[in-house]
Amino acid sequence: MRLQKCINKIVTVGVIVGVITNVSGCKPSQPIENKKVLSFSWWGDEEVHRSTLAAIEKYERMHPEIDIVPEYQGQEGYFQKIATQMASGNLPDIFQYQCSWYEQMASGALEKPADLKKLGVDFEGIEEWIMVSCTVGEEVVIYPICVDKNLLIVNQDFIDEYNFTNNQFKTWDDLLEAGIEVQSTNKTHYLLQISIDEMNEIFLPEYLKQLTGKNMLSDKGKFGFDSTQLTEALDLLQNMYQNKVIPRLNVEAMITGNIDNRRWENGKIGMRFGTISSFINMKEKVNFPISVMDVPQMEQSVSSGGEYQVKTGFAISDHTSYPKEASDFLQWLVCSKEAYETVQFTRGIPANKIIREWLMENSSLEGIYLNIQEDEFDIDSTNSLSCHEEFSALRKGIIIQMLDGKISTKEAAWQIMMETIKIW
Amino acid sequence: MVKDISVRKKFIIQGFWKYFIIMLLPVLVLEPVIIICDYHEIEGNIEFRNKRLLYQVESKLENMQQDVSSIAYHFSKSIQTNYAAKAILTKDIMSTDLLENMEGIQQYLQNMQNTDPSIFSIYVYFENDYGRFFDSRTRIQQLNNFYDKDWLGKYMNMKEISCYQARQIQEYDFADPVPVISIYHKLFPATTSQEESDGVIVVNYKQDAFRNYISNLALYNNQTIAVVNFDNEILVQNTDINLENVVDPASCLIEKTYFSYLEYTDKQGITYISLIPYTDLYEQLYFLALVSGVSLLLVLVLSIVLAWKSASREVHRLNNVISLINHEIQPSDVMGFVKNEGKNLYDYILYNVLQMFIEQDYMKMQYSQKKYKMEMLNLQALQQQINPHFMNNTLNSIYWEAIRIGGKKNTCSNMVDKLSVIMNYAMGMPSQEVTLREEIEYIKLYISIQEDRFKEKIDMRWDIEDGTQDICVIRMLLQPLIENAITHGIREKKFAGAIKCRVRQGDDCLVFWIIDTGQGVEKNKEEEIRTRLMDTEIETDHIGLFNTNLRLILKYGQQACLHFRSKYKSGTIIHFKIPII
Repeated sequence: MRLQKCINKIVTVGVIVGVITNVSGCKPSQPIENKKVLSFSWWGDEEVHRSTLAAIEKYERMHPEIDIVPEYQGQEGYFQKIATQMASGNLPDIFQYQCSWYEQMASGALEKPADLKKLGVDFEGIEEWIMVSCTVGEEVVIYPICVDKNLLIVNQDFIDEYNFTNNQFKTWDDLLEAGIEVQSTNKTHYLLQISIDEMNEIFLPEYLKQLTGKNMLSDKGKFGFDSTQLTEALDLLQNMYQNKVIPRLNVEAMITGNIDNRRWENGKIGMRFGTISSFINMKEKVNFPISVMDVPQMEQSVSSGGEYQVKTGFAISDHTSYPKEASDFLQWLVCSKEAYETVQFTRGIPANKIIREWLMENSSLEGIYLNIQEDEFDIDSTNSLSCHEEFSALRKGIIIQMLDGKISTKEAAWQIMMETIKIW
Repeated sequence: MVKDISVRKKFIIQGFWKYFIIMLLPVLVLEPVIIICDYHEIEGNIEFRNKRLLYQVESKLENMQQDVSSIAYHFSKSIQTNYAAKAILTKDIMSTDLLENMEGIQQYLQNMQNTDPSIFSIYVYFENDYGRFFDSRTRIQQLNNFYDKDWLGKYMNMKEISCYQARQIQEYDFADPVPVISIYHKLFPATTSQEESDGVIVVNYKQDAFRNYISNLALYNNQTIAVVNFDNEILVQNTDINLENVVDPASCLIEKTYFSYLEYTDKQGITYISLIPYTDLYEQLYFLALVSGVSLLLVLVLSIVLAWKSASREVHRLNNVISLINHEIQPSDVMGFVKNEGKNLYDYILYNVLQMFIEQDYMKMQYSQKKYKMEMLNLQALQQQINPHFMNNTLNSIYWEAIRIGGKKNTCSNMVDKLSVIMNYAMGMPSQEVTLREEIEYIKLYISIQEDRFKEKIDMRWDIEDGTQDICVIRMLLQPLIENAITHGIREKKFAGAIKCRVRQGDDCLVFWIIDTGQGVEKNKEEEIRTRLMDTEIETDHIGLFNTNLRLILKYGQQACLHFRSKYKSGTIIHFKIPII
């Protein structure tokens, strides 16, 4: 009897609980969005954006549970944006990054790039000499997107018009001489277009490296050049500027998007600085044939300059809510054939050897030699002090004053060195 | 057995109403109270909560406006920035000073954009022939090459200093357009009091960020919060419903379907709208009503189940009681069913009623048995009243015949004489008590007859406490016991035995011992006699013993019963006690 009573009670309670549970279940509920949202930030030109968005769409189709929110822009302001986001702890889950930024940004930041090895990212296909450029201390902070190098993009029609050949611009003097000839022939034509930023961040480091074989600043903040060598570099720049081998600085030149620069579009420029990736992306954008040539060298240069470098890579925030999903997407984007079927060479030459070789077999890239060897690679390109924003900004200001004739090249060299010493 | 279905039905109906009313009361009382309280709380607070919510939205928009005003102030009132920005946009040749200033302006705009993730881009425009402007996402841009041109037309037609516009910016044809809320703020010359603006700041806020903000503020799942500008353009709303009707508050559709609340700010020229579907607003009430309904249903089902179970239990119990009354089952079974656990008042009463019934029934049976025995004894007594006359006459005849045959008194006539005296004593009124002395005297006569008859001396010993011989006892109290000792004890034995009668006075009682050294009885026989003495039965064997036992019990009660102890070939002890009345 007691057992039966007990069973009866249990049944009664069960009925009540069951009904109440069902009643609770009747309450209308909102559908729950189960998608995992990953924010992904990068910089680049239109082709980079187009191909990356297409790749994202492809990935989202393959992984319906993942929603990738893209945020993209030009290179201008990207450094400041990432620096601000890192400092305030608002980094995207995945973002384009450069190792040379690490020391400037990481100190005191609320978020940092995570160690990709700890997240389980597979670096198969990345040669050891490339891995060095992805590492800060013991941590691998980026997966290299591409290896690229500085070169000159040539308007073939322009060169042909003046009966030049690409092979004749072996030295800077050759370039200067040809530039003067162009100006003497047509005052509206310029052999070389170079922006103030390119003068400061490409020409000057390249030239000094050819001269000294060293980066502008060592890791310990020591100059890789002396004032004479810097003066020589600035002299060449001043010569080219004063002889109108390069056009005068004006607002027109400051308008964003070199591709939109009217002089270049109108065929009044013979050549301009660029990279393999920008050459690839530019080919379809201009209505004249373009080709590439190596950056000129000085006679008896110590280094060739123009070596391949890991320019940039993708990083993952150490505070991401979905480290596994973020690393899976990154892995797919940078070293899967599915992704590269879409991305192709828009981001330059893939850093992953397996992908590089696969692309060589499956895509044509006229005029570009993809079989990169270790001795063609600048292992020391990520020197953070040389790329430091503040160092770059002070040089830029002094170069502008020099080109404006307010100070001599010697004074400019001296000021650059003195101001740099003040910073450190 | 209760076979009538109507009885079960009656039990079920009674039980159902009992359980249903008990369980229904809390549901009927509490749930309406909760629903009414809830309703009043919703009605009372909804306006206040909406006002507070829309105030938060207004504050957010005001903060955005203040940020834009701050940028506008920087470009209008900072003479150096104002001059440099205009010079950069209007001149073709760039001086080094202007280049440095341009860097400063660019960094300022980038910082403004980077520090507020909800800002998509910032444009700074001073009127110029080239269509140039500063863009925070890039640098200086030229309108004819730029992907976003609409804003300039809006600026040209602006009458207010500041205004809001919902737009979409499509940077690339392959990319999705970005919906933005553009806040325009006119720029005025820094050094003159000219009232004509010469430029504009346009800050493009991501609509998604603002939408997420207001969605998080929403009080209800399907609440619509919308911000509408002076031109009745919807700047942002967090749901997809068509708000065109809302702009006209007289719309019947809105009035019937939604609880609407609107706030208008003169300063901003903005209307803030909150729409809550009545289904959402009263969702909790609907839910409570549903719970009430389900509770009622539950109560109904439970009442039926409990009533059915209760009726089954009661019918079963009733059947047991009826069976008990009909003697179909043993009382112990029913008592096991109806336990006096004190849990239920009716069980307790039923238990006691049944117990009384069983006890009365038992007593009734005992009474019937006693009555039967009494009738038997009365019959015997009547018979004994007839026999004495016959016996006395017969004994007198024998006495005189013995004297005639012997010519004088002889052993036979003496024996007949003694027997006659004993007979007279024995046939006396049973209700008339005699003293112990008289009883002993007649026993002595009886023993002398036995000695005359069997020519043997019976060793009869008397151990009577002084002062007890005058105490009254029933007639023929000891004689049957002495006779039993002689007949079953001494006479069964081959050699002579002794009989001792001991009488002692206790506390208000006399205690008797009849001890003989006769044959005794075997163990099993002893047990049998004891049992029979307990059962107060009269057997043909040891009739004197059982007769005396029964008379003692009838006269003095159960405590006066005989106690029998015997050992085979050693003897027997009988003892008992009677109260001294």
